[in-house]
Amino acid sequence: MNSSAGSEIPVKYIIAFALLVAFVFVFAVFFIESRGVGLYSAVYFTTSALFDAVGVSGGSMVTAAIPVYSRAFPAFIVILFMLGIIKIAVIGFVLAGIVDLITNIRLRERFVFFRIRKLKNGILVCGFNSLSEDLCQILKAKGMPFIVIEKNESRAEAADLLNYNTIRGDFGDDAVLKEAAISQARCVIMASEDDFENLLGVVAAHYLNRKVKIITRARDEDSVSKMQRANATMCVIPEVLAGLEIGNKILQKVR
Amino acid sequence: MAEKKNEMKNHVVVCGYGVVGQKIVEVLSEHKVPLVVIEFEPKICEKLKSLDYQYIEGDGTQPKVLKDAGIMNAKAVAFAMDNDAKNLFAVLTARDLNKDIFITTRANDARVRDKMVEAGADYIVMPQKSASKEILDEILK
Repeated sequence: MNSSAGSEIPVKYIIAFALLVAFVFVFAVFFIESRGVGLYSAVYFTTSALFDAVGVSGGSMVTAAIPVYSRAFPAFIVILFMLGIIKIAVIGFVLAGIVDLITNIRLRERFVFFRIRKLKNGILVCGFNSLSEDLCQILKAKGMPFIVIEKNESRAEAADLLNYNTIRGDFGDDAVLKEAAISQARCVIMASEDDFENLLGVVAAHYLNRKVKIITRARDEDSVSKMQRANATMCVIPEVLAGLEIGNKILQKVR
Repeated sequence: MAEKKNEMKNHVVVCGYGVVGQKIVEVLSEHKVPLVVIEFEPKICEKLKSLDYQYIEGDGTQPKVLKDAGIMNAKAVAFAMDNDAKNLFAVLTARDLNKDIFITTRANDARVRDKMVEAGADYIVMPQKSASKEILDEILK
């Protein structure tokens, strides 16, 4: 199955995050033991010391012994400031890693999976192209719940941008259809521009849910009988429908 | 043969014999509407010849080809090519050649639709819209 909600989390980000947590823990314990402060204050001062550049918060804890009027004080402030700049660079790197980590675990997809599990009588739209985009607009306008399944990343992103529940994966794969809760679906629409893919999708969908309505698109009239034999409820060829519409319109005009 | 076609009157010109064009020709032929098909591909033209349809091998966006198909005296023209830009160009050309003809065309992209109307098309069909309507009807059954 290639529809997992994100690739494996890179180990380096786990290590970076673990080091950050360990650092905060160690210094918090240090403050508790050395200064006798409470847990909250210790964690607070450690965290604020990590994020401040000029060493105001953490610096104040360690410079208490150096009077402001002493010769060492200006030099110490410069050192604190330089340490602050280094901290910003390190923290920036760690934060970037955390953001990358969040992106990698694809929080959005996790939310989508959660919503999908709760969905009943939804419609699965397999393949995101001009036909399915049009269909999804209509379904959304009518308040009918649906899920888009698309394996092409750019098309899946296009569906995401329209705020559609989207699963990245091959709709011919049983595991992907199960993730899309096909057992609870009202209808499955195979909208790919490839008749082979649609046929495979029809077979998979019928195998997983004998009662679900399966509507498929085809490009070739020869594919229609195959789709029907595979238990598709309906097979549409958009170009044929367009030709019929144009032909009938012309008949109205010329006769 | 070209002279014979451009002398036809009150016929229909169908430009493009793909899936859409084939269905248009089928519907019109069933009702015995005289028609001429314009098609660019030689192999498809052979098929049209074997089916005994009047046809012209050529590019439907070219004024000369449309004139050879008798567009000046035709009642209607249907542009069924797979390319929106070509259909749009052909609509403009057809309207220039015949101000009164009924022009229908297919469009694949919704953004081109308004341009087709601007260019002079009387009726525009988008295959995906036609299919969406059918699919929705089936879902709601």
